[in-house]
Amino acid sequence: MKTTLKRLHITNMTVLSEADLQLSPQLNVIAGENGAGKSHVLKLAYSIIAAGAETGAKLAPEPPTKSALSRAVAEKLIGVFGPDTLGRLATRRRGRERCEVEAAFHDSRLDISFDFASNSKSEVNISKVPKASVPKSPVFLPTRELLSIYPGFVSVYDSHYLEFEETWRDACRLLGAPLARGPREARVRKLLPPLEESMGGSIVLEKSGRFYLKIPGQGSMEMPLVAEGLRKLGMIARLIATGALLEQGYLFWDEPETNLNPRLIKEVARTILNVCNSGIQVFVATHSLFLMREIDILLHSSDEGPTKARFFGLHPADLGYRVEQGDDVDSIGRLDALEEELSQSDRYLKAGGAA
Amino acid sequence: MTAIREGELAFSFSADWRAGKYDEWAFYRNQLGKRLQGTKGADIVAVARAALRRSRLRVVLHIEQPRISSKLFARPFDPANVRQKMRQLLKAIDPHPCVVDMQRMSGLAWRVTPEERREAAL
Repeated sequence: MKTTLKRLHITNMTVLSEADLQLSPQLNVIAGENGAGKSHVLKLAYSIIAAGAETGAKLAPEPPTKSALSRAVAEKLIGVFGPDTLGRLATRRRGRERCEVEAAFHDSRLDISFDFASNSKSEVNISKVPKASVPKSPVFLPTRELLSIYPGFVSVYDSHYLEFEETWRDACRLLGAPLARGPREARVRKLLPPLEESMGGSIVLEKSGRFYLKIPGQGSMEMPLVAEGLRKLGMIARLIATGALLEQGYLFWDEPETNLNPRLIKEVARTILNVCNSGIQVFVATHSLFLMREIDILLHSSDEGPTKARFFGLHPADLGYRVEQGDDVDSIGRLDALEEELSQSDRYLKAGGAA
Repeated sequence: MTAIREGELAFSFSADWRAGKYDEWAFYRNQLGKRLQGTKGADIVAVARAALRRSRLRVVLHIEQPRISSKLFARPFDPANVRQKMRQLLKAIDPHPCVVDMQRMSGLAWRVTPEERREAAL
């Protein structure tokens, strides 16, 4: 059975009073203005899956226990969201003070439900205990690239109190994993070349613990000297090469467009679709009309067979934000990026730009 | 054939179309004209006779924009933006609306000519 997330039901979490997301096993795109909770949706889904995978890895082959999960989920939420206390993630409104989350997977043995109150400190109440563990660690790519800060980051993070989101640590840990070998290499060889062409070289991890961009005929360039946009492509290339983004698995990518020029955004869109088609469930939060259009163009012209996509729009409501969802970008209500472009055209004409 | 002059442009529609200036319609003047003073809207509305009594309609927006020479705005309104907005608004009527202009008519049947050029030809 597929381990992909099928449905995520959220009640009273941060700015979302109620959201019932029907997800695609392949591509999920979340759009909304700043502060609408896009990243929160990504981080919540990531925390649930990551807590499940971490607990599963410790207890394997036994299924996760209720008490282990109630701590693991709470710790992951605190590490990923960074609130003062867990309860800060629960919204106080409508007389209800509990945040409730239900996650359903295509393999229903993984289903999990939990809740916590606005005064909860370090544990959630697990109301539905999964009967099996998530087999693979999910990948969360933050808006910033991590290759340049990678050296020593995981060990420093684990031994000191650092104000960085735990997603950075988790992603760095995966970046440091060894390269995929065996039959998976063939798949890697198919996905990597377009990315390496855009970067002008390949990403290598030297024994010193630093990443380099190895440029054919020119030698290696230290990561901090490589353009920031290319470092972002480098992250995804490395995760494909290690097998973290091959077959089964999850990719959460928060605003992939950050720091990228349009040519690289085009490359990112193609990579996202390629990763989807190689069996990864992808969640993307974005503002970028350009990225959404690239994805839309690829969805309508993919030669790898149709990719199943779901789109989610977060819109201001009486209480916080609400979700509109559908199978295409036109079914999710107003797109702020589009409205702003149209209104800019109006202002440009009024300012006499076309005179 | 119906010929309509709008500003510096001359539109001509063949006999199987009904076309008119929208702001001359009684409906527009009675219902919208007073309330929407100062706003901009459709200049011409044209309906193919063949479209009447059909259950499915195709919607086309013909938009001629001021010519500008700005690297920032190739055209003041990006037709892709306009088309996407129309897709949101008209999804139930026509999920694939068209946006055209003189240079890109997509094989549509009416003709538009800049008025100056036509006068020069006469």
